[in-house]
Amino acid sequence: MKLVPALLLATLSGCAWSNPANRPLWSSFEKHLVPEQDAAFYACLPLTVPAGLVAVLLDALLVHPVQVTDDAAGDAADLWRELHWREEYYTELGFLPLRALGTPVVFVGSWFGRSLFDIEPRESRDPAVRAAALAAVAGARRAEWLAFFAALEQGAAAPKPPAAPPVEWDDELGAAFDHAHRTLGARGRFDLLCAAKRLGLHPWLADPWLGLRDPDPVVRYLMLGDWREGPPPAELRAALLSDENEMVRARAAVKLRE
Amino acid sequence: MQVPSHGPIVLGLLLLLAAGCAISEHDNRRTLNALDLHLSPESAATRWMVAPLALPVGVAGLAVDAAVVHPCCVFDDAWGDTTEWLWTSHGESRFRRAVMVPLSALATPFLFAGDWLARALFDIDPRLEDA
Repeated sequence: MKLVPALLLATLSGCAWSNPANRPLWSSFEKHLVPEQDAAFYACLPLTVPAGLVAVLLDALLVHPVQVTDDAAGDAADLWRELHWREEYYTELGFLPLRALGTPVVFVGSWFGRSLFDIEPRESRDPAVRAAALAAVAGARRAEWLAFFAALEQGAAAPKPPAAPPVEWDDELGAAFDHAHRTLGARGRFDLLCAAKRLGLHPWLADPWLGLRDPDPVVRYLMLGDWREGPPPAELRAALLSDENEMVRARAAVKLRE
Repeated sequence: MQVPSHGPIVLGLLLLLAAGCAISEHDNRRTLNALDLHLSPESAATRWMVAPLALPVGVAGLAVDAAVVHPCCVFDDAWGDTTEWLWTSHGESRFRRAVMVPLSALATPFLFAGDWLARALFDIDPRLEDA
């Protein structure tokens, strides 16, 4: 009965073995040690066939699993990237034990998955392929942000912003952001500003007081409630402290006191 | 037949894991967000110094969000789904509505409980009227 799981594993690892990149020993053996000429090819078959089978087994059970160890480690390390200690101190601390427990689980799961199935490596070692992959990610993320701005402008109710900021902020993104900010209503502007703040978009980094200058008092009030960017310029502070809206004035007095 | 003693633990862990789906969303972590907003130390040195105290607070906040606050906050969404699916007229005839009343009454607790459980465990968008 113990043979069944072993056979199942061997069959599954065939998925990984189907990709030539995952069978270096076999490829090398076939390229260098199998004779080309017919007579020698057939004459050597009694030797090459068992050696080939050994190469298959070594590729499936040893070489490829070792090859994917760094990718599995990278997958596990992903749990520890992009921690926002300054903004989300307690959240990061709360998730700390889960991350610690999850790290070996993710490593082992990823290692098994990558050993058995043909899963794309985390990043190609070929610089050209890596550059193309990075460009594809940057393009996809840029498209997501443009779609988010468009969804806001079309009046979608609280569309979900992309999970990560654009890889590079360019003129087209800047124009789309500015256009959305100029034309949206108060609710849309608030969603836009929240997304810009949360994900550190370029317009927010360049002008974190954008929300405090919003024409709508509700937006000013809400942005003040979450205000942690330090004191705004003196004239903006003075304007908020003498805001026409009583609630904004009251909140500014609490949040912007010196 | 003997029931395995670790069954409830496994079930509890599975539920917690599933609840992880819900609290992985920023907006569903109300307690932790409030702690982050009001009690986060400003300097890195202070963050390191208070970490031994803040760690259990953070873990407790996460547990409270997952087990109490978020499940409580989705009651109204689950009720909204239930009333919309079972008790809101979608143009049916008066007679059909009358026939459906007992069936709707029978289905209400199951639909409400299932919807509530799903919303408590997974990251499901709130109903638009509550957004």
